[in-house]
Amino acid sequence: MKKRYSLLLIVLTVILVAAGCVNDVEVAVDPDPVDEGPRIFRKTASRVTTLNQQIYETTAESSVMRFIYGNLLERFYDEATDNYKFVGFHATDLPTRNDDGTVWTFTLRDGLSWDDGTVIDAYTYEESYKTLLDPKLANYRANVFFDDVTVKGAEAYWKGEITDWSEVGVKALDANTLEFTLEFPCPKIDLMVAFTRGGPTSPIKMDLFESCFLDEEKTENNYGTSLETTPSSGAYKLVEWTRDQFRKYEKREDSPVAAYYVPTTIEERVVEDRSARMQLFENGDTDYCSITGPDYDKYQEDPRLVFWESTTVWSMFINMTSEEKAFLRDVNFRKALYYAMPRDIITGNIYQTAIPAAYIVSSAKIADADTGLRYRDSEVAKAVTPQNNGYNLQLAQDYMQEAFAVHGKMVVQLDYFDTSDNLKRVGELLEQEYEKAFGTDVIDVVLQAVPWQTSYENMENGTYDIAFGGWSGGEFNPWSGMVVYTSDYASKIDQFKSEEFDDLYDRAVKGDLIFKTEERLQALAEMEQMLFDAVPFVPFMQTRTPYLFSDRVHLITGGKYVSGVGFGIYQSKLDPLATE
Amino acid sequence: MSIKTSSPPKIRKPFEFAHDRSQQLKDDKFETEPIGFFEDAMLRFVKNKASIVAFWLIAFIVLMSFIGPYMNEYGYKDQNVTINYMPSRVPGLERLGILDGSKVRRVRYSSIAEKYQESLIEIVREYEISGVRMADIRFNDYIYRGIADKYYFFGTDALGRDLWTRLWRGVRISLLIALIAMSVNIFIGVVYGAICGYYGGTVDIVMQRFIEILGGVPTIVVMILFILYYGSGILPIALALCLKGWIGMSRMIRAQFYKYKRMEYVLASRTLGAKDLTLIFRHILPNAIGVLITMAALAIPRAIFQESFLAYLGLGIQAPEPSIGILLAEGQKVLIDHPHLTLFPAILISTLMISFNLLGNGLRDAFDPTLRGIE
Repeated sequence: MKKRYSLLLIVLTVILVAAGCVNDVEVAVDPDPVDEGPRIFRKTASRVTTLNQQIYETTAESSVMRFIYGNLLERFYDEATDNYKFVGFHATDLPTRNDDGTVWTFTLRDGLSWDDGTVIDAYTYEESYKTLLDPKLANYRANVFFDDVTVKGAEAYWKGEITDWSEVGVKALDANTLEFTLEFPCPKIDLMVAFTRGGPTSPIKMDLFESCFLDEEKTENNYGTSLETTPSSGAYKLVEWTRDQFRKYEKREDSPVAAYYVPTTIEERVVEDRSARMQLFENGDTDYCSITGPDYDKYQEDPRLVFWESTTVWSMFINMTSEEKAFLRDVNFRKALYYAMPRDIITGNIYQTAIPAAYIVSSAKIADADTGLRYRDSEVAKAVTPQNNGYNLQLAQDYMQEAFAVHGKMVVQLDYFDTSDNLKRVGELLEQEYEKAFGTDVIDVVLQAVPWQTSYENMENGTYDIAFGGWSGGEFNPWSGMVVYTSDYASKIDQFKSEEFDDLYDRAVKGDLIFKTEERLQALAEMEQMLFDAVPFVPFMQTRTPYLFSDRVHLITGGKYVSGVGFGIYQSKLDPLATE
Repeated sequence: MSIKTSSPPKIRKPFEFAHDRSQQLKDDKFETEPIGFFEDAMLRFVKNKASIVAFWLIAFIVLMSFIGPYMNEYGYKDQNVTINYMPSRVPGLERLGILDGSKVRRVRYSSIAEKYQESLIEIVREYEISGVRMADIRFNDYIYRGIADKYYFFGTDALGRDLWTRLWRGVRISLLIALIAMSVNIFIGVVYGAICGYYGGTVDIVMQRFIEILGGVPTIVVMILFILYYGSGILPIALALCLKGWIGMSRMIRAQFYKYKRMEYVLASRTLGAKDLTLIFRHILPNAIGVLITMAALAIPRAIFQESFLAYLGLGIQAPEPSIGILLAEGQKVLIDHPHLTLFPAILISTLMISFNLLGNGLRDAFDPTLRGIE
């Protein structure tokens, strides 16, 4: 009897430890059973040009691929923990790794198939990745293997520097085992995110892909550009596609994750105009829509209102290496702009639903994948976050006086995007607020409308005074998001360069800090502090989008935004349509 | 066959003077005053009631564009974001229930007592959303936001700026752009058309082919590229409107020159040694003055319209300067919820367009030589 109790105690302990370890990073378990019967989810979406996951460019394209292309893993809302969880999709389980985190292995399920019954196995994946990295195709999305996750030899193969595929760290050991060898150790969360959701790491249907080449040299391909050339390996199959008008998806009941998805059919109307989308929702023709600033007045007390947090932080970039205007190089001038930035007014009165951001890393970014701890909620982040949303007029005036004493009256041109009403308003507000705060005898802000593409080009070339810009990035890796501020970043739009910053970045992303949770978190805060000190830009706002859902959608998160899975829309209970 | 002949009757005096020699032969004296070209045109113009009304409307709008922005204490770029999107409110009219500063908003029923008690005018509709009792209420926004003593005649925009002030200033800028565009178009059109029409031959053929090539280039594309390159200030926009705007004018002037250059008085002047410039500008061009004035009157609304169109595409003048197009472009995005931002600029631009067109038509009729002396 005593032995039996001991055995039971051991089993219970093991279960509890296991449960504690996996927390929100769980293996696939049977989800709650969903309602039976057809359920149609109706939404509006944007145009898509291609569904070729190797070259897509837009969020709209990514959204479609999420439905129709499978991947090794998938991410869902977990009611038990009120957080996200990763589950195996084409893989049976989460990946395993060697001791130093450079070799990762996925085990694939048996019986995986495309919608036409063609088998998907580890060899399909390897062949897909070989195509993705094919130097002749020069695929835009190939960087997934040399960005956060740096697969050995991948970049060299893609650039044509090596031609032997066996030197690339992607191997199908057998039909069920796929192994990745990395250049640098990689945190588990980064690897899991890279192989989640339909996208560049989804398998390609090779026979179809081969038949889609348009030239003998095999450099041009129309894979994923029509219903006939778009296969499905995901939870849904694209069954109707009227280009620029309508798309329809039917659930694949044989998908390993089918039980997580409630809608049996998803219908998408292509509507680009905001007002038309709103009107469709009001008429009951769609099940959700987003709301922009001007409409918010009308819906601000609507009980259906929920908010989607974004990883995008908007900033006002300052050309801190300007050769023409010495005052832009003066940190006192830049700090004056930082502390006089009226963030509360911008977010409360112009954007209405945005969050004032005196910081660089968005509050939606997660610092600890195991616990779901957001970086901004961590103590180290709180320690570097400026008080009062970074607004301190007296301090700003002191800094500006110091700059004025050296440079005299400062005339600065503020570029705003000519297509953005809100940024134009922010520009107009800043012109007034800065001139009021510092005096028109000290500063003269001149506004200039610029196409957003030109504005970003100017920022990259350093041919501007002050301009708006925003960076977003993945929710799970705030460290890799810091790459945009490193000295050698290809599309760098700020002029900040610091070896110290670069070293810390390398250590946190590819070096010795990867598996040291506390030190890595500290490093992120230090990087943020360096940017605060140099002020190459003045962050002012983190976007937050309000959404309305129809009464037939019962959000599984209860309307709460959960990082990584949002509102769990497709897991949410859906009432049948009146005509169903 | 015999032919019978007879002698003609004898006439004593085969011809007689119509008038007696004792009568004095002379022209009748004109009872009316001699009348010039412009006077004649004016006589016919004032008989066109629609044109006269249009003229006074334009005069009023132009006058208001100068004095309107100074009729209250708000500057065109004075912001107060806490009172953005205020509806229009006009003293006197508010008692009639129009332009009274009220608006309709969807609120939770419980909020009526909490927030809108003082400003509530009426409950328009009650209903439920997701089990929550809701209501559409009409309330006085000025009382709600604590500025019951303020009046914004045309309301405020997204940054709380007075639309009355911005609209009149916008009219001034739109008219300025139109005026610059019209002047440049007339200058280029007259010179180009005059050279084509006067010299004719190879010169005309080459210059007309150039016009045809230029005319084949899509106007909007050229204008957009021009503004993208030079930036969207008042002058770049005005000049963008001139890139092809002078073509019609030049054709009209060319036709006038072809018509008049072979007239006898021109030939006489040439024979007497007049130079080309004298012939062009002194003898021929004045005949086209009527056409010029008419075309100018019709070019102004076209320029205003094109400026508004560019503003719709986001190529309007730099913030914070307003123009009618800018105000319309901003207003139409919030048309449903804040119609006042579109309504007043739309009324004004419509009035301007109709007035200028009526005026142009009136001028065309007035200067039409075929109608001279008819009325």
